[in-house]
Amino acid sequence: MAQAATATLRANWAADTAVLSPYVAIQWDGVNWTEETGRVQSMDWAASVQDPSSGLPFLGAAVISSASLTLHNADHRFSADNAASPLYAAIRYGFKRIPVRISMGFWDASAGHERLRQFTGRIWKVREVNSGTPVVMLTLQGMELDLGQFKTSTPLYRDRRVDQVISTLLARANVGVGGLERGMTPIPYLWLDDENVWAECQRLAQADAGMFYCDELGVARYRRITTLLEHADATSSQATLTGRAWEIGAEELGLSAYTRVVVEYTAREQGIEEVLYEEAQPIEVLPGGVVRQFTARYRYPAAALILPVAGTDYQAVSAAGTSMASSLYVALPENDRQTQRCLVRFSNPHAYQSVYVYGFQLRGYPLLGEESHDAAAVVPALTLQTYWRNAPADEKVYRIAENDALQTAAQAERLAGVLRDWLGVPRRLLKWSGPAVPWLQLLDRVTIQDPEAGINADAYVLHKECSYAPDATWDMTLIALPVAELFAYPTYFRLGASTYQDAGSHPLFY
Amino acid sequence: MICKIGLPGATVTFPAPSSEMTRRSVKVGASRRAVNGTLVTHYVAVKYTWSLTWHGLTTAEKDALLVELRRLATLSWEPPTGGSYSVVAKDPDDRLFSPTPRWQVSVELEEV
Repeated sequence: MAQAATATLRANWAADTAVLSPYVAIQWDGVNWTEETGRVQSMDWAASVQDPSSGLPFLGAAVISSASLTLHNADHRFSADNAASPLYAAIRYGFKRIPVRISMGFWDASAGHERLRQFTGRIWKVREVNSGTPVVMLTLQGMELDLGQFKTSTPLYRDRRVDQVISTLLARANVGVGGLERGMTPIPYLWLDDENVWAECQRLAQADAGMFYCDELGVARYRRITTLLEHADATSSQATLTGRAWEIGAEELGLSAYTRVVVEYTAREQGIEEVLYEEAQPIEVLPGGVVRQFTARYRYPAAALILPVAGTDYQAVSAAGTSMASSLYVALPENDRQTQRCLVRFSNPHAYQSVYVYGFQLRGYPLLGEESHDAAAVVPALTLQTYWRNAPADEKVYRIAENDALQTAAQAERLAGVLRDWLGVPRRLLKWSGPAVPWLQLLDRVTIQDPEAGINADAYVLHKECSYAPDATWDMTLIALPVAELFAYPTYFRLGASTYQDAGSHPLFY
Repeated sequence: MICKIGLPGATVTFPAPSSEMTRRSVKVGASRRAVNGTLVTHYVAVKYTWSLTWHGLTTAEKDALLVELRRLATLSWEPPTGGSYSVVAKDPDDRLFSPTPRWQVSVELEEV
């Protein structure tokens, strides 16, 4: 949140006349960064934790950051079919996933070039236009793309916080981790079964009432809901945005208000021993040490697996029906043992005879879902009387369901309470458009002022987008959620920081 | 006085353009009025353009000069006043004066 900005950078931003310093680099060969700034005709980029339908940071619904670059291509440097291009070896098979960095800032005589990273991502699509002035238009996506295209299966994680599980998943996806804030509630059982890591991180964030996204440097970040009350860049304004702007406005989100929030959670418990997998067909394992392997997908997620026992979990015989149990090696490699599947490997060292495996099964202790429960939160009676003009409590209900990571009453009640307060009244989002502020990041606090319209509010940045071309100013548009009345209290009890006392203690957070 | 123009690393020497050589500074950027009336201006660079005319060239000099000015590439330009710049040449033209064949060549150079 809020990249470090020097005094000269801030001064240059505030000046009426400034010299810009753009920098675009592309890692064509996957190793070296090549500057292509001199080829950029125009560029834009955007990042958001704003749910497109509700307009609010809908807790776990961040959008993958994106950017676009238009590059001059008169000499066909970026033409994939141009064998004379110095980039031919890198682009002849396509541009997909080539890394790109965009930095912008200001130049002045004393400080020189001062830039901050604005976007880190990969090329997603390319369009080459060879009529008129040849150009190439690159569509980029943020480093979330690496997570969105990575699927994995995991063993069972017990009583882990959201940040701990996200950290493990990011390591598997080989994505940089920058700052995962401590999750609020340990979740009893978590696992993935060939699932998309980006979607899972969004679900985990939602279950913990937090936000997960990748920042300008391409680093993954998890922000819990209380970050807005704790983090320095969210508790003090990082920029004062005044009438030195192209547009200041506000939009009331009438459709995104609800009188009641219901959050469904489903606890899980370990069941009694039962068969988790059965192989319907006999398995032939050829002689001479040949390995036969397959993936066994369980009927239920497994809290624990029992290694197969000859005579109980399978019969191993020869073609003549004689026992070959002593000739058969059965292995379930530990690294391939996941919560809903495992790799089964047979090998038969016998020199001549095949082994036939009948009735192969895997036993274990399943993880069973209990009946679902609801945690509900209703807006206060005064709110029903005023904002909702005496509507009943069930006038408009928002329900969160089908999130496997919602397993405890504590999670569901917290999420329901936060959403009740955020969605109970129509929120007015502030929009500010003006000279780009290079150090701002998502969830930073800013002060937006328009005295003529009576706007003087601190707000959290939910969405930002920038655009630049040499024949235009460097523009930024922000959408920000006013801080006022977002939480019931300005601060909550923190272990090690708050003092427990007879009266006046900080309240517990939801 | 002389000047040089041509492909980078292969510039060709020519007589300096005639007495009048115009160099103009171009500020690359844009301005926009804010809602409070402030004019916000963002620049990214300052570039030069030159308006040049050579008078009294022989046919051979004219031909050699036009070979360089008609190249579809970025050129290296060293004006008589010194310095070296990367430029593109815009629409060079040539004019013949009689009776002794003498040529006038005009061109605009724009710094890349």
